[in-house]
Amino acid sequence: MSPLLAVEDLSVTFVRNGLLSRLINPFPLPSFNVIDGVTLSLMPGETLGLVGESGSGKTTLARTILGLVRAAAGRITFEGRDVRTPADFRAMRRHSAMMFQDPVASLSPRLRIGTLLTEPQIIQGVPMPDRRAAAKALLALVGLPASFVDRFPHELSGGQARRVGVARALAMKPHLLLADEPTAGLDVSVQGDVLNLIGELKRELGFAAMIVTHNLAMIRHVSDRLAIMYLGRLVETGPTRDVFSAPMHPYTATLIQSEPVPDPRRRSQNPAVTGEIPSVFRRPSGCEFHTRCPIARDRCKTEAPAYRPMGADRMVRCHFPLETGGQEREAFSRASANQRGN
Amino acid sequence: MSGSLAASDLSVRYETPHGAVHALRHVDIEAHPGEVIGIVGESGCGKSTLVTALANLLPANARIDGSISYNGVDLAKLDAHRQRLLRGDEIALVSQDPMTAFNPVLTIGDQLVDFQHHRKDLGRAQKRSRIAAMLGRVGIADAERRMDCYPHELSGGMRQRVAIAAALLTDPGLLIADEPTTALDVTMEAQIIHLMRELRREYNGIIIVVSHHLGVIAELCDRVYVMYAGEVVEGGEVDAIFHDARHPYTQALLACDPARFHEKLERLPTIPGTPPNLTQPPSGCVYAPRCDRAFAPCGSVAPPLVKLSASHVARCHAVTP
Repeated sequence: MSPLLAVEDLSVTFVRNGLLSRLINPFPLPSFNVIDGVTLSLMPGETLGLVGESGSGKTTLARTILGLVRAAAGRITFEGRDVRTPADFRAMRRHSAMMFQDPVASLSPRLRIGTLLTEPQIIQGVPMPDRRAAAKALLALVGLPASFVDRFPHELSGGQARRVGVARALAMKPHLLLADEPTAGLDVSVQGDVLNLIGELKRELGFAAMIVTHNLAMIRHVSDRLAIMYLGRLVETGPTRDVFSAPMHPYTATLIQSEPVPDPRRRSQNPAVTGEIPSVFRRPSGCEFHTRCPIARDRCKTEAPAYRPMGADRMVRCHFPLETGGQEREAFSRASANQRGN
Repeated sequence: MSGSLAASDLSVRYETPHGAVHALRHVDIEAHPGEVIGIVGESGCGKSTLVTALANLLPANARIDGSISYNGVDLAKLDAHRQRLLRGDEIALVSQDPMTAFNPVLTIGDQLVDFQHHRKDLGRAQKRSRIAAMLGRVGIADAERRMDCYPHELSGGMRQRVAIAAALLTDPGLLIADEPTTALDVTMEAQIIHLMRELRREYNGIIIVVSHHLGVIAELCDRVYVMYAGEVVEGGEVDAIFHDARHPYTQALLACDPARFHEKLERLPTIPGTPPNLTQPPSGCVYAPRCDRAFAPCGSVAPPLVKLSASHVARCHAVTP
């Protein structure tokens, strides 16, 4: 089976080209790779979780894939066709959809829900004999009452606004859904509702999904594969179950360990990682995680590790990956001293 | 000075053009010096109204019934001037959003000097040295230089550390942290949790942590109150709440947390239904319409607060001690 979406060596560069920086720097403007050499693929019907801290570039990557941010280098292939020009992206967006992070802000406050839900068809020029009926059908799809067609976005709760977001994303029956933090700001009982809805519709309609999130507890249940990002680069990819049970990159391991556990009998002792994510404007030398890595050695400070395969369907960017039974894993457990009591 | 805090039969309603919203009804809580109290619940359950009432910061359209006694004084009956004196001095608040807690046009150092305005006995230089010491305590390296930074020059995690330092500078008897880690990344959240645990060792006052995140509550608190639709539905030691929850809502809330399951679930658990409209709270149990154990009296008779052990209570018809 060929992948639905393939991203090869994708980079996105932001240039500091404000008036002030131009006045201060008469020479070539400094530029920064906020996405650097990302390669990943998504099979039809698959769910990929894209995970990282804020500033890791995960939202920018999703936006670049849909052509909302211009790539500086690299190649995007969708359904076997190269996507390069704005016209290519427009054609691609007919079969792909994005759910933006803030559900209320992504709905125009002056349009009624019915209008909002049928805008994609109008923009793409899809014939629609009865606009109201089409909107009601979409509302029914996501379990909202038909009377919502006449409501305004501010009359919805957070969970309802998410459902409208799901309905609008699915209006064009996409083959690919990109969801940026689909449950941010939702209560746990409502979060389950929205994710179950996406899961059911996925089984019914058969689209592939890429879910951008920092919520590990949630993504473990809804994704087939995980891609972990740090400073605009992928540091680890693999099947979700394997990544959670045996993370190989120390960054992945620290993310999993940092997650608070809802059990007072298993409190964490010390934070697994100290410090904060560095800025892409000042990338650390060598391995970019060495400034926070509990098992960093001299080599990590000078030599950037390659992104290399580790067994089937697993890629890791680390000189000393935490292999099962290996000394690195032991060293990591000792260094992070984060063993939870039972 | 630090003393105990007790709210008894506390109700708060907001007068609005659409009628009164009964945001808090008959809440009883208590907290003693040295304790970390957790208040957990979903949005709209009244947890923010409760801590806002404790900090005397309710808006003008709020009406309070019942009493909030702190150190033997009824806070709800103090005049505005006395309330204000108490707030800067005895009660401190760390808010959810470290981005907006500070004035963007003043340096961190200047703002933290202002926070100590009630310390007439200290000069500016002394106040600045207290700040430097406190910033060091909350884990900010290079404190002297950081004091000359503006808020936008600090990261979210660092701003939250400064907010905690600001709260502790006044040496409060009651420290309220409203969703202290919600705006932070998971690695920073772990560090702030660790910091708050370290600080409580030397701090003798009361800490109240408000959160919707069960993991944060479990990591930090000694005792927990679970709120739903403006009522405290269950309260007890943290271990009893997480391992012997008795109220059906607490049980359902715990069951919804995906962090509890390590094997992949096909469907995530949810709580069917929605919370009641608080302009007309139901006459019976507030949770009855969503409860799978509801029986005849639940729809019409308000359930009693059942004492399950010395420290464990639940407001439910279906529980027995």
